[in-house]
Amino acid sequence: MRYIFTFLMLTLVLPTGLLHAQTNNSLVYGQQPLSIELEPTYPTPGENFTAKANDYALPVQGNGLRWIVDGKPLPDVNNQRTINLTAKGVGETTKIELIIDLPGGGTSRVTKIIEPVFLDIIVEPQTRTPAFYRGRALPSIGSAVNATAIVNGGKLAPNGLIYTWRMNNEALEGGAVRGNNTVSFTMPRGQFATLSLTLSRADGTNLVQRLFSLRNAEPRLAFYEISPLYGLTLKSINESLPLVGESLSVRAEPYYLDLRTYNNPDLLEWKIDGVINQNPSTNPYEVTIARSGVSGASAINFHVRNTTQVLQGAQGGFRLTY
Amino acid sequence: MKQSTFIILGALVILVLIGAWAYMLLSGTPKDPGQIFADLGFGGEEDSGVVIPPEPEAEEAPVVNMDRPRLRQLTTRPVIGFTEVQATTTDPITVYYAEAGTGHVYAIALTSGEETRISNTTVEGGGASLASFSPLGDAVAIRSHNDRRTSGLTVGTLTNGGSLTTLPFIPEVNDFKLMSSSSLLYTTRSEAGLLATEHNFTKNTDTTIFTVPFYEATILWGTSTRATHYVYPKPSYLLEGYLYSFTQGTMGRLPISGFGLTALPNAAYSLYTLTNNFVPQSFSYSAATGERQPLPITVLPEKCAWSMQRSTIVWCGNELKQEELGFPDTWYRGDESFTDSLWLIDLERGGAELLVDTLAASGRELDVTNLLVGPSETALYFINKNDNTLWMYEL
Repeated sequence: MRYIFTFLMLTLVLPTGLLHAQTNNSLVYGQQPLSIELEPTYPTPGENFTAKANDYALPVQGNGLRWIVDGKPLPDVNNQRTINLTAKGVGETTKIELIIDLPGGGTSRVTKIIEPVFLDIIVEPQTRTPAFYRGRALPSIGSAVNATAIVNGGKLAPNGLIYTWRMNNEALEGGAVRGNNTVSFTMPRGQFATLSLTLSRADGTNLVQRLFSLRNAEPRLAFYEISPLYGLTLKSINESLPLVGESLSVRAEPYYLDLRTYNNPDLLEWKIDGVINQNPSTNPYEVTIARSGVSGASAINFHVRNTTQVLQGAQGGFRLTY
Repeated sequence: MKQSTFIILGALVILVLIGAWAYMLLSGTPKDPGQIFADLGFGGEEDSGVVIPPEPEAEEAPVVNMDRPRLRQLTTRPVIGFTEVQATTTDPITVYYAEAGTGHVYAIALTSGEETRISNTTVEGGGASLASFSPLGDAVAIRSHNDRRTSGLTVGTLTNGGSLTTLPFIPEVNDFKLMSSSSLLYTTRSEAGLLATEHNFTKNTDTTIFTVPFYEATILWGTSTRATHYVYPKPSYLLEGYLYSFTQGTMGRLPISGFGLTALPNAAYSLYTLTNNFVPQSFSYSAATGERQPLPITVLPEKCAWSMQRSTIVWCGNELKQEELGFPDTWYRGDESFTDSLWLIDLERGGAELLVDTLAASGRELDVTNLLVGPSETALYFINKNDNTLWMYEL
């Protein structure tokens, strides 16, 4: 009875499994399919990439290995496990077929469709930079950050795609959301944070995935002299500044300080020679310093901080000589 | 010796002395050196004894040096925008510039060097920080801002006495370019992103020309409203950037991306710089062939200007040195400055040619920014970021 049961099970299950493998163009032995691996995994339009045959799970050694790209056999790369290709342009696909000749005359084949996409993630930290600054603000610990995903330069509308954002492997916005091409998050502690985005089609198949590190910058101070006639001097003060006239005005710029702290700081103070200056300026980040003797030097210090999130702060100074 | 002998010898001496006195008395002033009594004829250099009055030196005619150095400083005032104007190829070249802070506008006739103030309207608040001139130099738009990001825009014509007016209808402006005296392109923030709009002064209309789906963008305006405009996220060495094009409202993506991306495209090529592993490197990308080539020198595209006559020629200010960690952010903050020389890069020939070592030529440290070649292509103009003065170099 036991032998009859085993025979029946084999006759029922084995052909079904083989048929399943053939219809999916994948020969399944155990849980490992024959597959084509790409490097990089998701090529961008026009990018060179490699396709590699992964047949290590095959229980038998293949007799030969053939590649067919877009229906055209590539005899020059017969029996090569890795081939080099170039991805097509936006909206174009490449069909790669891998055929392995099995001992006994059978073949095993697998197909992969390459649809290269540009997945750009624009990171816009909500931290302070002055209006004249041509660069982008950088994130700092505890600062708010906005990220926007642009697919194929905007040619692929966000509404048709499902976005899964993760920060340090934790899903943002509750997981996969259709059309959610923007996300906001707070930079976690640590030198780096990992932001990833998986983009899927409506049918659930993955289109592309991107993952990259975001480095936390430390808020840093720069001081600029303000000319009453010409405005802000764009060269930062380097350690010391000579006072030529009777007084001068200086602005402190706390680069990469979270905008919420910049606009509403718990602590903001100017010190001149260690004494807190009661700054009458309408802009608390600017101070006017008058000469206090014939000659000498004064230490000018500035401090801005969020006392709840103490890493959101910056402190620094320079010497004023006269 | 006898006493008489002494007397005889004394008398003889007295006689000789009397004879000599009589001779000098009677012979008069010596006529030539041979007659000088004291000339004992020991030789040596002969002195004619003739006093020759010095001939008056011929007066040199005053010389006015008309040779002006090819590299020269045009202003002592800090400048926030400028343009070169030449009505026809035979007309003299004039450079218009706007002064920082006040927003006063001046014109320099390059032939005579004469400078005239053509607008003395001080912009609101006195915080003029950026100016854009129309190509013909007949209008100017000036942005002023206070210590926060809020800013106003002053626009006016420069032909009728140069009176400028502030336009109240334009909200906070991020970026702008005056295309003509009747057309202004500008960007403002909207819910959908950065909105690029054309304002027509004649019709008093605003037309959206494209929308950038993010905010921190560097806009490289095209030569006309309908031309291709380029956009990339503001650069930082710690963040990735991507280059986009907008042609008649349609967004496109160029295959150029990377950390610290800064770019300067023209119709045929894109010049761009990336910071791979914190080391900047510059490339050119051909739109026709898709080919990219590393440049012989590493440049910052913000310090470069394309030739309008040859699409393979680009001029750049550049210092051959190892940039600081954090470049280009350090340069934007004003923490790092350069002593640039001017270079010509020919993408066709694949070389870089040093035009002028500015430190040797001027004795000044010139940190080149806003490099511009005028329509005449006879000179390069730039602002020295160290003091915002305007300079030119004759090609």
